[in-house]
Amino acid sequence: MKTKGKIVGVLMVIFLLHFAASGVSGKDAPFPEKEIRLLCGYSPGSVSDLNARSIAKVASKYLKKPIVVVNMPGAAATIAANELVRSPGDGYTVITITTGYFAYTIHQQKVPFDPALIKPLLGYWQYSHILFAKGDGPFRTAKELVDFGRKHPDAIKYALPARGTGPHLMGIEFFRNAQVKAVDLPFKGSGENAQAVIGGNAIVGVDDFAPVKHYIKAGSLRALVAFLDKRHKDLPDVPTSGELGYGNLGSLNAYGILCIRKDTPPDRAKKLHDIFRKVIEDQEFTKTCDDLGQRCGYADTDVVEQNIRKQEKLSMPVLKELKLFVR
Amino acid sequence: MTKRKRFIESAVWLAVAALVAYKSVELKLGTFTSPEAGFMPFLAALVLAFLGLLIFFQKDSSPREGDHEVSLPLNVTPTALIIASLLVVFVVLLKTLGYLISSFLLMMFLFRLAGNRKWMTVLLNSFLAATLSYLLFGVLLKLDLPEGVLLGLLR
Amino acid sequence: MAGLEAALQPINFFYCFIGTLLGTLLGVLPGIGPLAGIALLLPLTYGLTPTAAMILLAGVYYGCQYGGSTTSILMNVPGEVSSIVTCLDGNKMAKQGRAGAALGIAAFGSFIAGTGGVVGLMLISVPVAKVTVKFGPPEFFSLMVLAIVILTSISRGSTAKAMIMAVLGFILSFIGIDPVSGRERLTFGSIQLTSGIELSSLAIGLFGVSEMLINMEESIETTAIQLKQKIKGYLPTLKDWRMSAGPITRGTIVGFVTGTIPGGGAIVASFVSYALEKRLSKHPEKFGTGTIEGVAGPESANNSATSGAFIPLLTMGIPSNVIMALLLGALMIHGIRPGPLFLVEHKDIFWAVIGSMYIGNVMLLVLNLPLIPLWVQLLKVPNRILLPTILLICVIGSYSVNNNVFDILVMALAGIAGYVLRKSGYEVAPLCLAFVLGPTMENSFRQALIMSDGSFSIFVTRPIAAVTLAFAALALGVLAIKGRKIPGVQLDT
Repeated sequence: MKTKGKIVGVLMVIFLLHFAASGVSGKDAPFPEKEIRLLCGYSPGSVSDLNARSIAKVASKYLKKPIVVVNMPGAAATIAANELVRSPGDGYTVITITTGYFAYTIHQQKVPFDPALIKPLLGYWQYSHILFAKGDGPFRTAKELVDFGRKHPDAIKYALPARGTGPHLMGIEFFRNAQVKAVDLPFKGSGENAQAVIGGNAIVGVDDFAPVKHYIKAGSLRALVAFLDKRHKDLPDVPTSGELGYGNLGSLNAYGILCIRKDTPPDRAKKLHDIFRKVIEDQEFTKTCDDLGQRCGYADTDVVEQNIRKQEKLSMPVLKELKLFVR
Repeated sequence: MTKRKRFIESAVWLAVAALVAYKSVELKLGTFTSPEAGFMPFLAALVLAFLGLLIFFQKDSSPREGDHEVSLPLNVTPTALIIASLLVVFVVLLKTLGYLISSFLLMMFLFRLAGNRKWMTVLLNSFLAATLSYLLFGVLLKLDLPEGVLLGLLR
Repeated sequence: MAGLEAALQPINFFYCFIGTLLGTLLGVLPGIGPLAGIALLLPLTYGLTPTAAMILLAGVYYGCQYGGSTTSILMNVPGEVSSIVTCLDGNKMAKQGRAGAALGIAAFGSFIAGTGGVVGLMLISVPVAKVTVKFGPPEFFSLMVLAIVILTSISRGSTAKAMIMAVLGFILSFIGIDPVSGRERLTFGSIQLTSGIELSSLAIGLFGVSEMLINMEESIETTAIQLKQKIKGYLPTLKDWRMSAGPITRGTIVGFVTGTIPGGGAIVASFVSYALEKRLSKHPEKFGTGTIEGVAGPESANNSATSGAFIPLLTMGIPSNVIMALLLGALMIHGIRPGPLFLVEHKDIFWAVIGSMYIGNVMLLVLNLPLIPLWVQLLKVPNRILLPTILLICVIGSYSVNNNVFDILVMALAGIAGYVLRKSGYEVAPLCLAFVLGPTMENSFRQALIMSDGSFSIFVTRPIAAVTLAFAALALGVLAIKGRKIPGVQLDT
């Protein structure tokens, strides 16, 4: 019993030290006075997760307290979003999510919270979707693909990382505008759909540039079309869908955004916004983005809102067609 | 294995199969060449139903674990049910009370159930379990254990 | 050889040690695994060279495979999902006082297989990758069918009951959003269920928590070892070695091959090895009661599978599982792009990692062996203290996979279900394994049909798929014939 008592005593001391170290301070201490949780609704290793970790890493230069990435994958980020809504609105919980979530994901589920309770702070990266084919495959240009597709309806299967999301909608729009009947082939995640195309099991695939960047560089995959407003800087020879006459789909690219609870005190919201903006414009962050193949940059809430509305408008009818629309 | 018990077993499987079949039909079955979301679950439900019936007619000598045949249905002892309920209560309280308090309470009940008679032992061990686990998992391994009342006060 | 030199450099050696140590500890903890470890260490790697970072993170990954068997054997709680199968015989051995032998064979088997896997990685990565990259939905489907047929031969008792468990496992795996159609299935309106049931929580509950509930029924002064059993030595005997030689060798090969197939992985490797050993054994009916082969084979297989899993990543840049995806991300953050050009542009990193894997395996053996007596002593702690503590660790482990309290509920429910099932003569292993295989099988089936516009010929015209399906049919035939002799399948009217 005595040893147990000693152990308890030691533990109490460790405990108190731990809390003292983490700063037991009053309400007047400057925000943030403890670590900030950055929720991520996607698994470790995913695009959002890696971006979140970049932010956390660079933010350590501007903040005394760390930003800790907490992965809560599930229900296409609804679980994490729900966690945000249930956290106190004191500015210590932030979430990284995409505009696509508010544009079409919430219409495919019965979310257990009111999405209006979440407010975007800013956007920090934007997807750059492309259409790609097998590197040494028979299709070297978009024209060849479209010609083939028109002659052989339903022959083209395009591999997707998921159904009912951005790449799917872009694929549908593109092929419709090009008057090609194509079939979507959904997979579970970006790795699988790229592999399907590399292995010759699907003719083309649609995905963000970042996950397939290294395949393109190595020649396993070839980019045919860029779903962007203007050509991608790493893909100068790849035409945009607008150039090809199949509609400018650039605005369908979702933004990665940081959000907080709507009722967060305005001064804290502003502080978070300013810090994150500094992080985004930091060279270290932009370099990491480049390495990952991301398009990074600051986007203010107006741009973000516009993006949400535009995507939402375009995707509603398609979701209904695909019978994925819930509310 | 009495006939009555076999009956309950089969009934359970048939009930599960019926539920799954019902839900899959709701989702549309599609055809063999173009299966929809409900196809595989429905197939599984059919197989389950078949097997459930088969079980009823079989002589069964499968090894059973746990020596105690209890007269309660399905052999569940009160202890098992209590522990399961404890875990449910733990989950409910976790976010409000926070990890430290919730785990302390949980351990108190568990230690008592496991047969520790002395209150001092129970209290002490529960305290140790809660705090050591917090330090090991929450602090050292940086897992995200919910903060609650106690930690909130201390900050 | 330059790789070995690089790996032996003090700094890389140090990180190898840290990685493997952390990996072992995390592997021992149920639920928490390589993902948590890698995610934890990732920020710390930013300041390191890409080589050191890779060595560290890879160490965590295969270190976990070593640690995972510990709780499986001692407590029937799978430390890693790839150690589920180890619970079957390993825990029985522990109850017979032979925990030391089980742990020892697991450690040695892991070492041999791990090293063997690295050799394979070194020698045949590129040719293997060239074959597996072509694998598409038809091939995955046929592989899953083969795996399922093998699965049914694992159980000891009634085949019908094992099949019920398997079907139930499939049904549970269907819960969530169906990737091929995008629609919710069997979620009953719960938002938590839209992402399905978490495997770790299910496994921990079905095996570990149920074990605890069963044990709580015993009198309070029992310890984990059956009353009055002495601990029979801490290391495997010569006889154990002789019996394990075959399983370890076969496990190494089986594991490596399975690991290279994207989506294959350590879990599938472990139970294919178990089924194989049972099939080849002269006393298959003893499997499940505490045979050393039932531990040696699977534990070797899951270690060589981790080496195999690196192949798609390092040669083609294709991550074969979530952990590889994280490693891929980690490399990308460091500016390295694994892929077909990796072997050309970053040969030095590749060889340094390989070198460190050799060293890592040795380190793990050295680390784990002395711990064995320690672990076995743990079994002497009275149940009234031990069981609640284990339960708490299981709870934390389940929670931390997704930082989600719902997973604790899943664990609890699985625990009750496992408890009831085991007392009624059902085995929970087939359920878990079917749960793992179900999604891949179903998705691949439907994807294959989309590819072929609804024609079944795709399964026959593609050579690998056709051969695998033929194999499966053969295996099924053999099972059916043998099945007539399996006790328990006689009709009783």
